[in-house]
Amino acid sequence: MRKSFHEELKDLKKEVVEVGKQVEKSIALALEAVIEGNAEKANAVFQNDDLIDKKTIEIEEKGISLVATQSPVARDLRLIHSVLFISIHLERMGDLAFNMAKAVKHLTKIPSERENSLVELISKMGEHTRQVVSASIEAFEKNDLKLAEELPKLDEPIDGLFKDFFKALARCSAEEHSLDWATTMVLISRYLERIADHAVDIGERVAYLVTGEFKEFD
Amino acid sequence: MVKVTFKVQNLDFWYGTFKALENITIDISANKVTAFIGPSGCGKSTFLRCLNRMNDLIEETRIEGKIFLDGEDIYSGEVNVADLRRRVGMIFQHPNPFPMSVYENVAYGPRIHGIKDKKRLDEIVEKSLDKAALWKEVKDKLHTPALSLSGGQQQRLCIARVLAVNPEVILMDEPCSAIDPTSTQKIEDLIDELKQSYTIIIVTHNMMQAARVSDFTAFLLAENTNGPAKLIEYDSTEVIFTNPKDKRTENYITGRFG
Amino acid sequence: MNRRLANQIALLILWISALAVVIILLILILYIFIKGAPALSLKFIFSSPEGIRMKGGIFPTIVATFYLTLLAGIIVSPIAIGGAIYLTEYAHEGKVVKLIRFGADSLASVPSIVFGLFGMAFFVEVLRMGFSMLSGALTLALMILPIVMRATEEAILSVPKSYYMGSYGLGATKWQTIKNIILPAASGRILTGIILGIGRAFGETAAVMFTAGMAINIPIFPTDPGRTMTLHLYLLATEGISLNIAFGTSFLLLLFILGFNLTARLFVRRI
Repeated sequence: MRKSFHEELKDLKKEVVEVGKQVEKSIALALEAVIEGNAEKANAVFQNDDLIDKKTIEIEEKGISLVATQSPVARDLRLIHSVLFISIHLERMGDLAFNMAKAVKHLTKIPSERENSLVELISKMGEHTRQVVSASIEAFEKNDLKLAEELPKLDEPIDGLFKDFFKALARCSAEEHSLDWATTMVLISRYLERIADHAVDIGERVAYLVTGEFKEFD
Repeated sequence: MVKVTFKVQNLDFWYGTFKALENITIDISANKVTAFIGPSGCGKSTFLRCLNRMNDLIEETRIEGKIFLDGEDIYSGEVNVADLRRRVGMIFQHPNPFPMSVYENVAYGPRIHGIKDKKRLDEIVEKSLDKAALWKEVKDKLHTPALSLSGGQQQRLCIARVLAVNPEVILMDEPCSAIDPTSTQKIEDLIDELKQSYTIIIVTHNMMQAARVSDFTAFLLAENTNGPAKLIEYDSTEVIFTNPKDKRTENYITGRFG
Repeated sequence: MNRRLANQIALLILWISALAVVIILLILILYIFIKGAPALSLKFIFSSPEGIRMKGGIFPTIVATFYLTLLAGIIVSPIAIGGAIYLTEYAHEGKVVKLIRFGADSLASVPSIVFGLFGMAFFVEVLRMGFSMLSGALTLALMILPIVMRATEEAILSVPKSYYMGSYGLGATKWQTIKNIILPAASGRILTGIILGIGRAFGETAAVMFTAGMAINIPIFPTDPGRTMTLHLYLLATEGISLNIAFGTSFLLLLFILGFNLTARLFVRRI
């Protein structure tokens, strides 16, 4: 009985990593949609998000049922606890990608010039965000404490780029770009910044899973 | 500073030539519940019986090291073993009321320690049964045979019997292993109440029970079959069950054993 | 098919044996009842024998029988219980204990006539007790000592170890534990042992013939001699005095012994 419990735990973890990969895919698609102004890719993000939501609910249910039936302790308990938290973070990250895709849909309806410097910044931010997300999922998959602790460092340039984004925005002339377009781009950059924050939070959970101690990364 | 009830130093224990316990050093805090966990046959009960010298009753046993109860060496020549056992009461795996009435079971202890006054005895019996959360259930059948009670009631009667001699410490050797879940729940609640006034040391097979009732948990393990058991880890129950420091403890409590 | 047949046959044989036991017992009781019942009356029980033909009752022999067995029981009980406590609780299991047990077991199978001769030589002659209730009771006590002691030992050993643990755990001493817990818990079985021993003494002839004497009188003091029922029966039958009275006596004896065994069972039941 116990052996199958540990098998189930392994499976649960695998499923979370699987959702992580789906979230990565959503983020990548959403980013491409933004950069290319591609509405079809945005649609793909919507579809992918349904899958992510369904899977995170499954993970939650499995986690709860394992707690109820197996009385997990120590590492097992910490794993289930972390899995539940991480799956929530992943689901949020998926939602943020979903929001980005929604913004792309909105953008395609606005007859406006694209300001390339802003798109460039978004693209850069997106690259960094994808790195942080991918690193956070890898840290969880491999119980890699060192990698988890490096996440805040990976997150730093994103915050920098976010600030740069506002400076660039200020330089844009109001005639060429509608207010609507600009604010939507701000939202998108904000979504990316939030996604990266969630990835750092996942790192905190990984650190707890490995060490058994709660510690906030700064 | 927490008061230490039992101070055990470098305890070794032998059954004949078989060494059952090796180099156990542990301080047991007063008014706390300390649980001993470990695989069956690892010497948990043996350790428990060292604390009230019940092992003296088994022939060819030998002990080395020191055990202090409130600073007094309980294996020194001056110690009165009967008095030690009064101070350190014991609850066994199977409820073992004597084949007499409920009243007589509880009054037995005070009687052998010299209390004869009927009124005093009545008082002690009622108080002890009340503390053991049994008074309400048995007050109308004090003079019926104790063996007619249910298993769970019998175990609480045994607890009342121990309380009647006014101990400082209560040792419990798997007190719920022969009892149904509802009664187990009652006894666990009782343990929580009793620790206000007594130091409780419990040996249990049921890890979740240790997690539920104890403040501190000690993990004993004999790493080689036929080898002696050692104290692997001793910490607050919370730490043991969420973040044990020793890999062997982790493996045992998560069921990844052997 | 074969297995079923074998089963049936085995069952039949067992059934026949069981039936045989019951039938033999019934025949015996019925025979003694038919032969003895006519002699039985209140007068037979409560009056003394008269004249050379021993007409009348057998009252003095009934009194002597109960006197002897009760006295033997009183003498044997403390010794047997004390010995059993020592052997089970205090003596270390070793050569001496084994020797004592072996001795007791051997003693139990010594023919009673040997006890009778010993009693006559030792109690009657050496200790100068003469033919008396005391000599007879001491001899009987000696004879049933192993039975009662072994039964008591078994009784003590059958007390669950958890009772000891419970008592020691409360700080009781060994003697307190034995006195307050172990002996009461074993009392039913001990009593059964005593009753079985007394039952054995009750039916004894040879051991009392040379120690309690043959005088037909109602014993009052332990120094008085007396004739037991079995001895009376033996003498009536061997000297051809009166088979009627002999059968009457047998019947009464049978009733008493049945009573003993039923009482013994009662105590076993209560445990």
